[in-house]
Amino acid sequence: MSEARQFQHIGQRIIRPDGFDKVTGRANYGADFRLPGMIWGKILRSPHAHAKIKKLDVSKAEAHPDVLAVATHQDFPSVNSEAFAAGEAMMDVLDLARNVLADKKVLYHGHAIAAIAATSEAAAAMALNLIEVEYEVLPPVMTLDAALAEDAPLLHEDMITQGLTEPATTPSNVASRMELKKGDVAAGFAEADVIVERTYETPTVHQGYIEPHATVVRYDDKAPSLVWASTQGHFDVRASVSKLLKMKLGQVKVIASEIGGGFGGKTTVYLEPVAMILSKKSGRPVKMIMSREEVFRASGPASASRSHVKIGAKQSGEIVAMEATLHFEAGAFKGSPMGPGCMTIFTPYDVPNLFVEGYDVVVNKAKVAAYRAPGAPQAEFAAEMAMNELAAKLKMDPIDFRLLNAAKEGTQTIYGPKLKEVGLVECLEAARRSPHYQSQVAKGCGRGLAAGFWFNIGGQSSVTLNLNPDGTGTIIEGSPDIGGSRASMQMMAAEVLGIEPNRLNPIVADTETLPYNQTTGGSRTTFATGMAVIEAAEDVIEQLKSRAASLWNVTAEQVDYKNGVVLNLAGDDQMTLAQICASAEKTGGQISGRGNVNARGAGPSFAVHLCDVKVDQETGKTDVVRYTAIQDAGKAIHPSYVEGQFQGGAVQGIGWALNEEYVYNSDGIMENAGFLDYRIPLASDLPEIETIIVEVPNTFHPFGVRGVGETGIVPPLGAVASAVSDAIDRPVTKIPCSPPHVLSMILNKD
Amino acid sequence: MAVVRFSSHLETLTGALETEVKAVSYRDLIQELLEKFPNLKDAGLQDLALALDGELIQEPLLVTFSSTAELHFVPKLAAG
Repeated sequence: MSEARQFQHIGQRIIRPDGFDKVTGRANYGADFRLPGMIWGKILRSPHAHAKIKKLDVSKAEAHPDVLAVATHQDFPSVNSEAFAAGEAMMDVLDLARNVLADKKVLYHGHAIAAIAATSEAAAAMALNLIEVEYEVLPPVMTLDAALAEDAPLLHEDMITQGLTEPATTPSNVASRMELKKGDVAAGFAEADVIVERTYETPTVHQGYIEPHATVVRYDDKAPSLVWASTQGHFDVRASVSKLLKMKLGQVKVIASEIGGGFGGKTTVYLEPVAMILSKKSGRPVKMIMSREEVFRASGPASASRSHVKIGAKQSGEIVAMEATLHFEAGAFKGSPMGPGCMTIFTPYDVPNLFVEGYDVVVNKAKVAAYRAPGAPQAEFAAEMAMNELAAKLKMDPIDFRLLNAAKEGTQTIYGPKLKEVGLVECLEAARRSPHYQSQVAKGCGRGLAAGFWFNIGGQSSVTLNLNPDGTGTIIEGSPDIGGSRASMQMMAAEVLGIEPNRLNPIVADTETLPYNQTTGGSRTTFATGMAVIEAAEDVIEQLKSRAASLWNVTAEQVDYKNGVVLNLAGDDQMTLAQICASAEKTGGQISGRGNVNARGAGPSFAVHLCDVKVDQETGKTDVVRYTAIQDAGKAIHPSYVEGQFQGGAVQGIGWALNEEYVYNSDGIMENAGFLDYRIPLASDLPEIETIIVEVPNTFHPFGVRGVGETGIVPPLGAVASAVSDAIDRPVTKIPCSPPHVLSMILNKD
Repeated sequence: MAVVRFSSHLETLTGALETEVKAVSYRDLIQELLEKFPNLKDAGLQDLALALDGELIQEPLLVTFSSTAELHFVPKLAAG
């Protein structure tokens, strides 16, 4: 295990191999790709949030000389409701088809209705005006209350709630209910001396990736069709396109471009199937790029939520019961992250009596997509706010209160299994020792603290490690690099092989080059793809030993490999990796290692964040003045990237807590579909995010790795909102804490 | 014998919070549970992940376990 191990490369801060291309503009992103004969696709989007399509006539567009193809939902081969694994979750193929191009009904403002491919981008945009659509406008359902109302307009007339104790018989806007329990909450609350019970709300927010969705597709009926896409998972783009268009997987080749951010939002498809239809119909490669406005209106945001939480504790601080009811907006089609919300909300705490129920509710907004630790930030925000209020009522330090109740190895979670080794206690203790927590809260400021939990996942990864005759090589992986993972792969391979990392060049290969690789998400890449890299490197070592044994005319058992050198245990001979590669042609050909894993044993991760804010009592404007993110990484392969993940999660969570929200008018139209009005934090808004890496190794990984990409966005909502609450001496139950909202709370203080 | 602990949802189909099983492999486990609790056929057990002594296994088909193992069926996890 890694705890006492000395590493040669793991834990160092090497220069990222993709850095030069990115800072010089040489890296190719989604919109950078061109093909000969390429034409442009554009999408006609719904001007209504909820309407029946009474008539859709594309004949005038089709007749225009600049138009080479038109696509509508009718161009999809017949698809039926069927769950299939695509991206990071199970998806209903019929819902996916209806989301990509609407069928009979539009379910949100911006919902795609038809697409045009024309000789130029401008011609395609102009030709959209030639499509005639008649709508029967329906009342939009824009909030949970509106969706749950007795007489609510239905988005889907055939949707029957799943998971109810008494099976439902009539349709509603509630797709499903989930329930988890442990112990007896009623008995637990009966033992409580102090109870906090409140309802908390979070808004619809966007992941805020800087690069809009973009693709280039070339249909081919004699060879694999080509898809170039900005995606977190090109193998799942292939799966979705082939499923929707009834193409064999081998008929679709997907190349992942460099990616300008995804955060979960690029784990599904919007443009690629449409571009494939247009390319097939026109016989030309088709390029499609979303505008920023389209990204906001029509790509998947994170769920808005409402969480009713009740927590009871004894005067000693021991929590005796926790209970919650969660409602998550799914957007236009079922499938919010309500489930992970239910599973994570109370996992930081070892409490005997727990009950959580969750509801997945459809509304007339774009279908939600994953966003870092999907479901956990919303749910755990509610729990952490209540925890801080309860600590205050008990007159306990919030860290002491959490330590008294902290989950640890052996804690039975509400979703079933007992936790293995985890690092929440270590994170809380590190938080208490931190210079931030040891400092005084400045006058006029408030301080908040919150914990967070996320599972992390493993899954399928495949890697090939090819060596060249001079001992350099290539790591061929299938995980799009969204957070610096190529450097981590270099370092893990180099650690196993005992050579310098820069002798191995990591590349992200297309879907024809490697077997299936799961999408980059779930904080899985350094863990699972890293395990495939380690396996491939170990395969290489076995081959190196065998080749050296052949040269020395001894058995493989009579050789050993250490620090890049093969040793002859039956004599004094030794050969470096490079020397063996140089003679590979004499011993059977070149050397190539393989690693194909479906990685088990992903290590859950906990984090604790501290936040100090200053609130302008006259305007309600809130500034974060100090922020510290503490998280268990298991083992930080490349500490700079781990710190970057902590900081990135913190900054996105700060934005969620302070300013970000979709603002809709009464017609269900988003009024702030651009970065000028949808306010994500800028570097100039924030202090340096301080980080503390805690390392409690994951025993299931050769180097102790846990995922780090998602947990960091879970605590900020509670940490920031608690700090605001402390600064204005009012309970905060709703975010964002934007200036109007905070001012309203200040003015209504009495 | 290994112990299977059921979620509240599965409990509605089994009428029990936990059960002991003779099985020491995932395939035998599914067969034994379906024989013992026929209502579980509607639960889609094969679509769930398995937690084996706290280790989450998304694709457990080939999993074997000891007679002291603690098992849970858990929804497959999505993430971003």
